[in-house]
Amino acid sequence: MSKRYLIRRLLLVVPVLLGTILIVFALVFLTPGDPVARLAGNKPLAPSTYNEIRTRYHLDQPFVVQYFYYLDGLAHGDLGATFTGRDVTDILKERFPVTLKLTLGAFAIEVVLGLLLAVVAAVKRRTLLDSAILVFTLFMITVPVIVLGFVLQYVFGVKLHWLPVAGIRDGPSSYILPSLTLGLGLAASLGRLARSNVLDNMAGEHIRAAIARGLPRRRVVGRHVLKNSLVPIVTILGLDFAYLMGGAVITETIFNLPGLGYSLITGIKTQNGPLVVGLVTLSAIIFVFTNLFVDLLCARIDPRISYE
Amino acid sequence: MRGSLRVLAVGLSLAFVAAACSSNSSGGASESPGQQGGTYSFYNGEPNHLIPQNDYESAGTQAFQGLWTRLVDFDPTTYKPVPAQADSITQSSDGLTYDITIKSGWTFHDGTPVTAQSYVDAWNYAAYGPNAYILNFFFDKIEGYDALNPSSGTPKTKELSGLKVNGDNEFTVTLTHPFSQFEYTLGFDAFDPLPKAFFDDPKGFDEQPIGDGPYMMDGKWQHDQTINLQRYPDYAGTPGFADKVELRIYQGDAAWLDFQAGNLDVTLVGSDHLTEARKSYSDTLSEEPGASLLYLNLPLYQPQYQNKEVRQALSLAIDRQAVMNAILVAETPADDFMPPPVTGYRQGACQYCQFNVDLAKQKLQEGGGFNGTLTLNFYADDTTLEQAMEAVANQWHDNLGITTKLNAIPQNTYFSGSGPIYTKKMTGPWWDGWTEDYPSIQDFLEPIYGANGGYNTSGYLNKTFDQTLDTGNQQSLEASIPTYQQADDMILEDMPAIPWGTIGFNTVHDDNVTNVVKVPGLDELDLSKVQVVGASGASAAAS
Repeated sequence: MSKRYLIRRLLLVVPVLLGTILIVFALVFLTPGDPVARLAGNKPLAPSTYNEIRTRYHLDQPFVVQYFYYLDGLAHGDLGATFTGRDVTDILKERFPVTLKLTLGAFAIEVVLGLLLAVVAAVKRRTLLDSAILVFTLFMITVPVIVLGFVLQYVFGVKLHWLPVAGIRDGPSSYILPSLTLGLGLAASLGRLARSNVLDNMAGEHIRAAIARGLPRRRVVGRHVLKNSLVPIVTILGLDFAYLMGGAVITETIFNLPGLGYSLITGIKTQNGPLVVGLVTLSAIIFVFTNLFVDLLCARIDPRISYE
Repeated sequence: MRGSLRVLAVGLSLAFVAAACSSNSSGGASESPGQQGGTYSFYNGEPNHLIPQNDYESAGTQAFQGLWTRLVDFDPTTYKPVPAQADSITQSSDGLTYDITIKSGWTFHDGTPVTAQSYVDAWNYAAYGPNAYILNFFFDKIEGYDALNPSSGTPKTKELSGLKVNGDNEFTVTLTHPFSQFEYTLGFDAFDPLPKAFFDDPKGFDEQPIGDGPYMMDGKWQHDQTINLQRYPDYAGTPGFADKVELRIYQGDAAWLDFQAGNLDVTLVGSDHLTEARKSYSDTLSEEPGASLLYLNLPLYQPQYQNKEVRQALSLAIDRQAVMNAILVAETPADDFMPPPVTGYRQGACQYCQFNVDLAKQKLQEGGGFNGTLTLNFYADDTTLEQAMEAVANQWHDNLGITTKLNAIPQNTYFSGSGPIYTKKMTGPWWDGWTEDYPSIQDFLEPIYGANGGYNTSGYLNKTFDQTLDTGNQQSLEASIPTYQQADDMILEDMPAIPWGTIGFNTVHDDNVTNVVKVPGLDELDLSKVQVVGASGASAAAS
């Protein structure tokens, strides 16, 4: 891998971000409705108040002008403010740790449980255990997050009183149920995908040779099979990580977690351009860098992959 | 993002309901000599602001209920204003000037005194157009408002000419026109006082406001998580019972689950959980009539709706109770143009709100029948509402033989200034609601049906009605109520809209608390009345 490649990839971030901002900005702009008029419900604001707020947020300007005001602010590190006067930067700073914790929880479940399911199912293929894992994973993939979340809340919160069901005031335990809600489905998908990958590799001649030479099965699977299956798995994991960091809208809402997804709902609901654009841009940045990291990691895992 | 649209829709409809309802409960019969102490938690939404003059939604006003003492509160039976932070409010004989004296010796949470100047400064700040405070429009009846809100350019003055400080505890307010209900409006948070600290740093103040109420902020506002309050030890009024109150902030359904899981002491019960609450929590459920009226507004600018007999017929032909029994979109059928906890409301006043198919058919005939299709409009993405609207449309079809059509309008456009309501482009009846600013009959008449009403979207125009309102506005508060009722009688005959029902202020609570009661006349929980069970008396020593 060359340095030039790395620089090229980093430079690519700029057009991606400009494009993302433009598209999201346009989408929010084109949404029908008048966010300022709704600040007092269905009661009319004083004309002076209405006009002042519209001027303050440049809502009286055409789209292109608004877009350049936003870019200008961005160049000065100012992400704008919500219609209630809160700085978007403050909101992002406040929300990021919540989403990060949820992501790490869900991601840990995906990696550990997903790989475990895959390896067990592959090694014990065509046994009752494999079928049981198939049923379990298919079920987890099919059941919608909103249903799974509610069932977990009901069973472990309302009925058993074991775990908190809303908010983050109980520290790490607040994240257990939401992480499961997100992580189980991802683990199941990963389990299915990785199983077939592991199976493909196990059919490889080098594996048969290793087994024939009497290497312990555990070591064959761990060292030779898994390592060779890693590239597609890491790619998927990278995508999932970036997806999670974008803010899990449904999970954060049903568990009342004030993260990025929760804010996105508020932003869309109040038609707040700067907030929505800020959130989506942040998630685009995370996506781009996660992808870059994954590509670099894949090159490390498999020396045959090279970038020019 | 998978499935995000669905959640968005749910969120939006909840937000709309939240705007119309708030919380309260009553039934705490006598003031038991409960002990002070303890902490309890109560449901709240995320306010837009914690500056009283810059917030207009129920999450904010619920916090202000604890953080501020309003000039007036409302009587629990007549809903007329009674002095709270005010000592006396005297109206001049011409009805134009109000002399307000406030109680002396009261302090803000930072220890500075509450004076007449604290009020005048706050009102001037909010009324000053360039500050763009949301409740600016509350000051438009005070002399000098126009100078602070010119149609173009910067105002030349920052002070309302109608406000005059006469001493530490006394100030006068001069109005541009006599307005008998002015004393009611003083119960709204727009008229709360602000301490000096506010003017130094309004933005910082918003994060940790300093009021003059029984509770003060316990740390900063934790956005989307909680607003923590603690008892203000130097409060000059009746102190609150609990030492601390956590106003927990929820979005969506999480509050209900948190209550069921035993993590939230008091919560509100919306229509969606009422059936379950009646079954599972009947011992602590309190259902009180709330401060909103839901109604079907009518486009009087469309030829089909210009005969009052037709409008009467449409109202007579719906069985409100039957629809509500099946679909909880409101809880009690309306029987006047305002909900019960309002001065001037008369039980059963609306004769055309009864269900009477025979009379409906007769009226429709008198009105010349209904030509063409009736389009019933409502906002989209609310399945409960859609079912209710379908039921209404079916009843019109079955009972009057009218061909009906349902039209769901996206929520973003529904109430927007360029939407069909304000631009008067509605093709048929539409789902609407009105939440009071103050519990007077006038607030349900003039803004909605008056010629200059801010929300006269039906196009109703009745000179006698306007004159009667005007007479009421010029009378004394006491004399004005029967006059407004005469005006009410006119729309009860004209039916410019079809009253539908009221939403209750419903609460449930766990065993940790008692005396969960509503603020009279407003959809708010009285934060200082709630008592924590088994609270130790030790902490009471401080007060």
